Amino acid sequence: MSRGPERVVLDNGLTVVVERVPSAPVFTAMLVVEAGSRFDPPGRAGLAALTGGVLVEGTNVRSARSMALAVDSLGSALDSVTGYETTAVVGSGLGEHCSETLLLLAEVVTSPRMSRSAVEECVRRQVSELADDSAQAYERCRQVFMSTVFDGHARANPVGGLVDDVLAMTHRDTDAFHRAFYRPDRAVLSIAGDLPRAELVEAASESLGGWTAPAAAQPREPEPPSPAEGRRVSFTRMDSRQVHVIVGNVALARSDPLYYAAAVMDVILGDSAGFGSRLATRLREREGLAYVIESDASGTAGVEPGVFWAYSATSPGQFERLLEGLMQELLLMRAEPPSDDELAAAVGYLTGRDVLDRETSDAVAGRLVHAERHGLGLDFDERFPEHVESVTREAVLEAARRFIDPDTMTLAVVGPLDAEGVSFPDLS
Amino acid sequence: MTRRRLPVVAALIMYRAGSLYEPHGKSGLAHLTEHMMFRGTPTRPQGDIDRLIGRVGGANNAVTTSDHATYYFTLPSEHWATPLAIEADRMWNCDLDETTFGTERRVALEERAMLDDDPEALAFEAVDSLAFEGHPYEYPVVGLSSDLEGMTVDDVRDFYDDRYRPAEAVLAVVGDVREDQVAAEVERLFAKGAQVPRASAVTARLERTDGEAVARRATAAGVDARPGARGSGPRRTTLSGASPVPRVVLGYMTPEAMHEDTAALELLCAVLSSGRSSVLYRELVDGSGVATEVSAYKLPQVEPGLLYVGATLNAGESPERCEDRLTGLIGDIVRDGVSEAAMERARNLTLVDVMIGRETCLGVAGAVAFWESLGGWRLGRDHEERLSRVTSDDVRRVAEAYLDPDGRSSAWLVP
Repeated sequence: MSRGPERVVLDNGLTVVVERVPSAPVFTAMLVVEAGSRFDPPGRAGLAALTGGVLVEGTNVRSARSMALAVDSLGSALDSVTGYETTAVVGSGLGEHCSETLLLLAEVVTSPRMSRSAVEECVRRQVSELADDSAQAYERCRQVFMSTVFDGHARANPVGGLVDDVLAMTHRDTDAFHRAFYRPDRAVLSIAGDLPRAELVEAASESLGGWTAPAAAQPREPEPPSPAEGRRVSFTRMDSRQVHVIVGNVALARSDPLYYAAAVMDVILGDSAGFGSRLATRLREREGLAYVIESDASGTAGVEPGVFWAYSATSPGQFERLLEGLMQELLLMRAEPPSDDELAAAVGYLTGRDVLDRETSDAVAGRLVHAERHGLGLDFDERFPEHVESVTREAVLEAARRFIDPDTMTLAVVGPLDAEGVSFPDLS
Repeated sequence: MTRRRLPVVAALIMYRAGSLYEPHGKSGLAHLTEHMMFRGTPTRPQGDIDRLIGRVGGANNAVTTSDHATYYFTLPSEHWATPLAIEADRMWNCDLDETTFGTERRVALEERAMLDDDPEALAFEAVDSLAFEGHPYEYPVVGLSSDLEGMTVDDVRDFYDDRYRPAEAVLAVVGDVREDQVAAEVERLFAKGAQVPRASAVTARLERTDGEAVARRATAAGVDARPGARGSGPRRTTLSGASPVPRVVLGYMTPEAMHEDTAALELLCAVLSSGRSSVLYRELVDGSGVATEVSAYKLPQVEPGLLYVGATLNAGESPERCEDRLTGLIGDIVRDGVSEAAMERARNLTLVDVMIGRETCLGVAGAVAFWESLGGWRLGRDHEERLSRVTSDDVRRVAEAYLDPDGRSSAWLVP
């Protein structure tokens, strides 16, 4: 039996990637469309998320309730998730119901009803969730950080949008967005599950082969973000128990040659197993200043550059000490290459974890989409260790110097402090 | 258990060392002890566990619940023996010194503060506090700040000495390994604990003879899950300013995981909130727009515990109206029962959840260890079998027996 993924492009331009995962008799199908919030039109922040949400609220041939009954009767799940770059419609369930679930997924994507009442209900829900997020300290800190780092760019807005924009949206907006962006030639369908690959390809073809691409030209690609000019500090007072802090800046796209070096840097600095990173070892394990402390540069790297960010939260009385320690570690990362031992440990972590990330159909489906969207090839899994093992200490240093940038860094703080106490520490 | 699809192994050790076993006034002790288990041993300095596991690409962590403290690993299978050596070492030799205790207590206090900023966590803690008054389940696993501040390293030493012993532990290894090799290594590493008896003081309270006896003991401690046992009326607490949108959580006392009604109660939860066709989603999210999210679930616990029914409301909605609606919908199930079609959907969705749990070695290891800790890993199979046989009459019966409106505890979080 052949192993590994298989890729086909259907006549309508839809790319299909499938892989057999015989861990349990289940499957996951992800239809990922280039229809994330980066495509929100001006004054319509949140439209991509609203459109994604309305998809599962009924189609031209069945009501929301009828669709829910059809999905649940199979024991399947069908939902949509909108992110900054894409919207994913995800179906999952028992392998024996894969074909039927895919037919429902196709119906949702190709002929959503977008009724006025469904859109109004989704608007209300989305606004309520935005209110909930913005009043919680961590979420608020993340929003403030992103809006400051990406000031003037679509990425400054939460994926859920801005309350006033969302309140003004109607079914005409979601319908127009759907017609412009949901088309087979800007989508990838990945399916992973305990079924032969040929069966998965056939199910894909039967369900989505009839989806026709409109004659209209593809929508224009938005402009990527630019690095900020100078440092920025943003403080929001909130009566929370902890002070939440994020520092960071615009970083790298997935296509950046230093991507793997950035991934190695992440493990060393703030994203390793347990509490073994430099940040966690010092600020949590040694000084007891925080429960959560982490950083990442490669995780948000997409078609567009993502962000480098470092996050933690602590009690108000420890805030200055935490921030000073955090900034010192960021600067140290830029000052000299990691030790041979740190490099070897980080490379071992990434190559070993790579195998662990293939245990579930959900994870495999996600990896297939990632590899396809970024042109990494069907043998991506096999070549991943080579990429990581070729990273040198010098490359990690170069990544740190490029992607941790104190000159354009944003400091976002939310918590029970006075504004005058919030600034970048003097580390000279 | 051998699984050969990928070169992966999961290992976990589950101690009967959850918050259930904490002395009064020491809430958070089980969880803080779990933190201290990462502080090293005489032969394994602090940070060594993370370094060893991390550099081979493994993942490791721990979780404390009301009943158990569980330490778990997933890693490439060639390193299968490493977690066993780590666990055998820290079962006997954990460093519990004053300095590291002080640091770790500060970390635990930060975790406590983090939960204080989480409206959902506060809602569930408030319901537990009402429902379990006088029982260890009353307190959050992370503990109360006042208890944590008064805790000493001697408290941790006593708890460690009492609970961290072989007879209170279940070790599960699942993955691309040879069972005979694993068994031999476990024998070599853990044999010296064979003569150590079970923990004494608190265990006596938990020795079970039958479900009724357990219910009686729980009653004595303030928890009563017997059908027919009723509170004097609903209990409610309201937290103002703790949440930007209203939230409602109801808790109904239900029997322990081993009880024969547990499967029917789990199916009742699925009928209420699994999928978009579920009762709560259909009536509160889809139909009326009262809520943005709904949930119903029951944790499998050693002692009688709560079945939670919760809703996050749209801004401006009334918690009172929502609670009335929730209890009304439960009343409908008691009065009218559940259709066969709804039962079939609930069974299918529950079955898929079980299957998804089996995708990972860690998922299998966790389930095996949990049921083994209650009496035997085959109980898990029995439970799955029971789930497939639950009828609509069973669901109606347990809804009537346990989801009594007068016996509920509820928390409202209002802006």
